[in-house]
Amino acid sequence: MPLLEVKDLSIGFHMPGRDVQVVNKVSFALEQGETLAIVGESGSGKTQTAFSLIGLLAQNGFSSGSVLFEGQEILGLPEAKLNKVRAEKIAMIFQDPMTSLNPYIRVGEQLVEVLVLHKSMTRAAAQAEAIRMLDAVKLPDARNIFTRFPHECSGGMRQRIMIAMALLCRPKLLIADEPTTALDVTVQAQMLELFKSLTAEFGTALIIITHDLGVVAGLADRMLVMYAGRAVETGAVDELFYDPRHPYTLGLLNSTPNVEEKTERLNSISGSPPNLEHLPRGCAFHPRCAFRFERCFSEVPQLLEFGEGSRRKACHYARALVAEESAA
Amino acid sequence: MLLFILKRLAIAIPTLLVLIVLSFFLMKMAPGNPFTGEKNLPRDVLANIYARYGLDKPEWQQLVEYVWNIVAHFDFGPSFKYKDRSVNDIIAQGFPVTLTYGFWAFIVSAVVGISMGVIAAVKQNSWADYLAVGVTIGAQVVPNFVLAPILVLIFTLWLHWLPGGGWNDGKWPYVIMPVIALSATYLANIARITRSSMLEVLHSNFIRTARAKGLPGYKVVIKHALKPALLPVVSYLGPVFVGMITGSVVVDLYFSTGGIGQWFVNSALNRDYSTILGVTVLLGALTIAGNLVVDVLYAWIDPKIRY
Repeated sequence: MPLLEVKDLSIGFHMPGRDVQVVNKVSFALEQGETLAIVGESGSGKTQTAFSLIGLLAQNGFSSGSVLFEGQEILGLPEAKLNKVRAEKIAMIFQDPMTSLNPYIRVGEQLVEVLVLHKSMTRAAAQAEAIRMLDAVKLPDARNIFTRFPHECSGGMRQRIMIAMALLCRPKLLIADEPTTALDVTVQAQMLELFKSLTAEFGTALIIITHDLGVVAGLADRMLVMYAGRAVETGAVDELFYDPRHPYTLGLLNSTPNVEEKTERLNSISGSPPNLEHLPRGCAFHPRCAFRFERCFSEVPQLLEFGEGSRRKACHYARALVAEESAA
Repeated sequence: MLLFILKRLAIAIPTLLVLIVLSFFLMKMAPGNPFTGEKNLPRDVLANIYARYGLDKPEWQQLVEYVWNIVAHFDFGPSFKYKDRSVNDIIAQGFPVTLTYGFWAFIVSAVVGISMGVIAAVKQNSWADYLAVGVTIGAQVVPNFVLAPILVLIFTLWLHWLPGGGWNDGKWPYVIMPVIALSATYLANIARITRSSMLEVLHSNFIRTARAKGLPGYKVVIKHALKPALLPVVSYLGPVFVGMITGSVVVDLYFSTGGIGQWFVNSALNRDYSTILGVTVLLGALTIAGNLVVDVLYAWIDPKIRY
């Protein structure tokens, strides 16, 4: 049994007078200790997918399908039971470390309350453990940071505090929503190192949500590419990087600047992400796709297995893309 | 922090002086004086009266003597209208009354208003929210000079539960209706400010973090959301407290409580110079103190504010 099994997860929001669907039948699974990257542009539904894994959708959100964690269904779980899963088994790190810590409570207390709540520790024991965890995320002078308020810490320090907070209960699964996006490039690299060593040390499975393929390459075992609320391609990171089979994945890879090539302009995928309320008919990507043909205009491609191993794609175009592109 | 408070208290003294000087000249600019009336008094009688109250001296001298009497003797002078009473007597008699019903009105509006606002925000779009919003809109649109007679009508004339007026040394049946009449609008304002600020806080990122930690809902609200949500409320509570303990004309008139609020208005209408100034100074001093308390509370709530 995989640690996490997501099947046909759909998410939508009730808006005044209408419903908007943002995630459409996404399925994936995660083994113990594995790292999965969910990749896509803004608005592709990756963050909402992550939120629904610990029941954090906004009040007007609704979801269907199934999210099994250690065999337990998470969707529709009552709040009291969700609170037993949150932080203790599945922890989450958010995009913006500057606003994700409570500015009115000292850093130490924000860590201690997690341990007191989930591990029924005494405050003294919780304090010792929290300081140990601040040390583990390589914060210098953890004792001092323990007594600070969040605004007395830098962005990188705050993200380390968030990571320490998430790992306090040694969760089986850590979800990191764009954990490096708001940080300086130099700090980003340190943060990735930290994720790598900590998940290895604690045996934590990691779902990292990002649009930065550099992060994916450095960290993930497998990746899931999302476009307009659907999973469009999934497989091992190496395979997807060297042989992308969905034109959108190819576009993402091409738009990542390469140190060895000198280019005047950055490559980008032409067009812009679709409006979720008015998706194009057929394949949602077809207006921006160089490989489209008649079938793409009318028929939504399903995420199907192909080749060997566990690769799947949702594209009607059958052949390999990289060779085609260089031939053209 | 202590230095900050001392500084503020030091600034309060010149502020009050400016207040006195401005009110003094504004008051003198108004046509007439305490002794002009429908009946014209004989010239020499008026001259005698002016001499008795020092109105024959140049105005700057009146001002200096007035301020000196306050500073040296804490004496706000005799009332120009009520011959047997000094302003000190009037304040000593009226202020405890307004302080009593104002204090209770403040407690009621703060406690009930904040609770209503928090519940309405936490249960947004539920019946509790709609009820709270409905009640607060009602309380906001009904002014207290309409609410007061309605209260008298219901609780005194129909139900015979409460006395329709009087003070009776502040025994509780006499305090209830003044408190309700005074607190209704403020309570509604506090509830609405609390609700909207709590809603904003509940949508912030750090509340999502708190929920992701698995904290139960009430703990998220009380421990993580309440403090930031109360910041705008606290800044509103300062002036409200001062406004309440200095009383209300409407309450004093409808319920014959004899508080300071009615003196404030009467003295202005009668051009009772010393009473106007005395009550103004009292109000000014209380406002300064109230603002200082708000600033200190702010620093206590928000660690980013340090003086």
